[in-house]
Parts: sequence; C-alpha cells; structure tokens
Amino acid sequence: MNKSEKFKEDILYQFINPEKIEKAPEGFTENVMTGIEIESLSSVVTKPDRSIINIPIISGLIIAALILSAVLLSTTDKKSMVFSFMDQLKNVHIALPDVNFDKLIGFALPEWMIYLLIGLFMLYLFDLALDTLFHRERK
Amino acid sequence: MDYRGDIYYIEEVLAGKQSAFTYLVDRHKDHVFNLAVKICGNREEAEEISQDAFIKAFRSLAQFKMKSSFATWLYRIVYNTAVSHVRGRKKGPLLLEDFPAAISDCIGTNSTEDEAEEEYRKALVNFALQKISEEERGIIGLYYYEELSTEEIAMIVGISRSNVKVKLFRARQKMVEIIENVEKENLIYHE
Repeated sequence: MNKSEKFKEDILYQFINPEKIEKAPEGFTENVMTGIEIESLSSVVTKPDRSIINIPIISGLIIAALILSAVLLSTTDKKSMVFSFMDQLKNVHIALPDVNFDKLIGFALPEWMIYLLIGLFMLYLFDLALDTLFHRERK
Repeated sequence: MDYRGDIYYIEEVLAGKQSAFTYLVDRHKDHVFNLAVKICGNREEAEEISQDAFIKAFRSLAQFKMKSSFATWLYRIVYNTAVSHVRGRKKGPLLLEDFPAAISDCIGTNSTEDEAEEEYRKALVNFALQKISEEERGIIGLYYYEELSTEEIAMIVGISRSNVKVKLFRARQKMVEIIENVEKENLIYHE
C-alpha cells in the first residue's frame, strides 16, 4: 500500500506528517557517549569483591559447626564418639614452657598475665589470617 | 560521512572500539527520540529516555543476535524504557479543556498560515496521543511516524501481529474521536 492509498483510507494521515519527526537535541550523541564512558568506569570501580562472598559461607560453616557440636555434646550417651574423643583430650597434657618471667624482667607479673599474652597472640594470628583471606584481592 | 551498515559498527564496538558506537547513535538518534517523545509526551523526559535506551543498548550489544535489524532491536529497548518510565510517573489525565481553543494559541508570532496550520495539527495529534495509553502511543508512533509494518511492530512490542492490528485499530478510533471532539469544541468556541 503506497502513501496516497494509506492517506485515503486512514483519517489520521490527514493530521500526521511522518516526514516531520522530532529531532534529537543538540549534543545528544556526546551526552550518550559520556554516559557510556561513565558507565564503563563505574563498572570497573564497582567490580564485586569476590572475598566478600566468602563471608556468609565461612560464618555459615562456623555456625553449623557450633550447632553440630552443641547437639553432639548435649547427648547423654556417654559412650558416644565425641565423649571418647573428649576423654582422650583430657589425657593430653599441654604444658607451657617453664620460664621464670620474674627473673627475666626483674619484677613479678600476675599469674594470669601469661595466659592473657598468649590469648592476645592467638587473636593476632586469627586477625592476620582473616585479613589475608578477605583483603587478598584488594592488595 | 561514513555510510557503512550498522553491523560493521556493532562488530567494531564488540571488538572493543567503544567510539564506533557514536555512528550508531548518530544514525538512529532522531527516530529513537521521536518515538520516546510520542510515548512520554515531552522533550525533556524523551531525551532522558533516549539516552537511557542507548546506554542499555550499548550494555547489551553482545546479546543482539542479528535476527532482526539493529533499528528494530533498538526500538524495542526504547519502547520498553519509555513505557515503564511513563507507568512509573503519576500524572493526571488531560481534559478536553486543556487543548488550546484557537490555532493562534499553538503557534509562534512569526509563523506563516501554512506553518500555523501545521503547528495546530501537530498540537492536536499530540493532545490526542496523550489521551490514549502509553502502549497505544508507542504503536501509533511506530506505525505512523516510523512507518513500520505491523509485523515489525509485533516484534518490537512483543505481541502477535493480529494483536497489533487490533490495538492499532482501537488507538486510531480513540484518536480520531478525540480530534473530532476538539474540533467540534473549537467550532463552538469560534461561533
């Protein structure tokens, strides 16, 4: 169907002039290209940190382990594998090296201080391990 | 001016030459903008929609399977962007009294009689367009301004060809009715 046939058939063609379309404003192409450049840059900056995905997995595993251990330890069956393992643990004697700190530093330290220092050291190692795990990609 | 086909520039963009997209924007911007104006009814929002549509097209260019023309694929993005934009905004319907009563209200002071007539018709059609739904505006825009076939419109809008024909028929009827009402009101006003 050519244009004149369409015109006769369709009353809207008396009002619509397809040759007179709305033109895009000045600088439209430049604005689009700027938008695309910004988009490309922001997609680089906001690249998801894969290590963050590990956080819920690790915390989930820890919670699961805690729940499991709570369930297993609360059982009344004294002959269970967990209790026999705990018995074995009691037989292991962990002794701290017998260092006389009083002589080393010249004054007396409270008895619990050594446990506090060891605890702090363990926390430092734990923190170091977490930092290495979660900040690896950022470095 | 470079007259290579769209496919050439698409392949350039996909190969990493981002600047090749400029040619595609330049080539299609007026048609994209016109469709957006027809659907949303004003130039400011249409500019925003058109830019958004081009950015979306750039982002998903790798998904363009070349089964249709690039223009058809692009129109689909513009249509969907514009329709969802219009749905998201809260705007009351236009009343018949909102249309300027006289031709002189629609035109600039330096216009000739022919230009005045053309401006009046344009205002009348735009008024009627704003009284129909956004989907119908899109279909009218694609059919009358972009002069696409009902088959192409069906691909863009995502409905069957027969459904396009039905919607087109209804939209046309509504618009004609609105235009006739406005003209009738204007005749009464001038008498």
